[in-house]
Amino acid sequence: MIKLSSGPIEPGALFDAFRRSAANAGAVAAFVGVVRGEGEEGVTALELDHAPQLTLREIERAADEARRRWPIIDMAIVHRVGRVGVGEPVVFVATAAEHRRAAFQSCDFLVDFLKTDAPFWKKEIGRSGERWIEPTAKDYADRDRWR
Amino acid sequence: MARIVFYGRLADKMGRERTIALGPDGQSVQGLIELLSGGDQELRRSLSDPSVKFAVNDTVGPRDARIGDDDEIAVMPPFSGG
Repeated sequence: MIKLSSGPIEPGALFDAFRRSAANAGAVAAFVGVVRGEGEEGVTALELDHAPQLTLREIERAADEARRRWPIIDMAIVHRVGRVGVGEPVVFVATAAEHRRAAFQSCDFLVDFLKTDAPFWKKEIGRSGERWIEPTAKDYADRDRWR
Repeated sequence: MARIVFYGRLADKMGRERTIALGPDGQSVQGLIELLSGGDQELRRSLSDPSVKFAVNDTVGPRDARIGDDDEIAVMPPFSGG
C-alpha cells in the first residue's frame, strides 16, 4: 500500500493491518517519522506541499527499486501532506520479508528516499514565522549509502 | 497555453499556477526560464539553479527538452520529505 494522507495517520492501526496482510513474513520492520518541536525556534507545525501524481509515481518507483534489491513480501508507505502538528506522525513505512536483514534494510532505504528524493516540500511553521526546509548534507549522505 | 505549476518555496514566490504562451515552435526549459523571469535577474538565477527540477507532463527531464502549449510543466525546488 502506498498512500498520501491529508488527515492524521495512526501508526498502530497501520502496523496491525500490515501484520495481517503480511502474515507469512518472518520479519517486519516499521518506521514512524514524527514532527519535532525545534526548541528555541518554536516550531508548531509542518506544512507539506506535494505534486499529487508525480509524488505518488516517484514513491512507486522507489518501491519497485526496493523490491528489486531485497526479497520483500509486502510494504506499506503512508505519508502525510498538508499541515502536520508537532508530535504528530508524518510518515509510516513498514516492510515485511522472510528474514530480518531484508526487512530492516529495505525500510531504511525507503525512508532515506522519502527524505531526499520524493517530491515533497516541507515548510516549518513557528511562532516567529515560516521557513522552507531543504535536505541537509547528512540527508544526502544517508541517501548516497544506497548508490 | 502551457500550464506551469510551482511547488514549495517557488509557489510562495510565483503563485501555484501560471499559463504562458510558448509560441508555435515551443520552447526549451531554458527558454521557459527566460520567459518566466522576464528580465528579473534574481528570479532567473533562482530558476536556473541546477537544484531546481522541471517535470514535463509528470516526467523530470533535461533543460533542453522541448515543451509546447499543450504541456504541463512542474517547477520544483529541492525535495524535503519525511
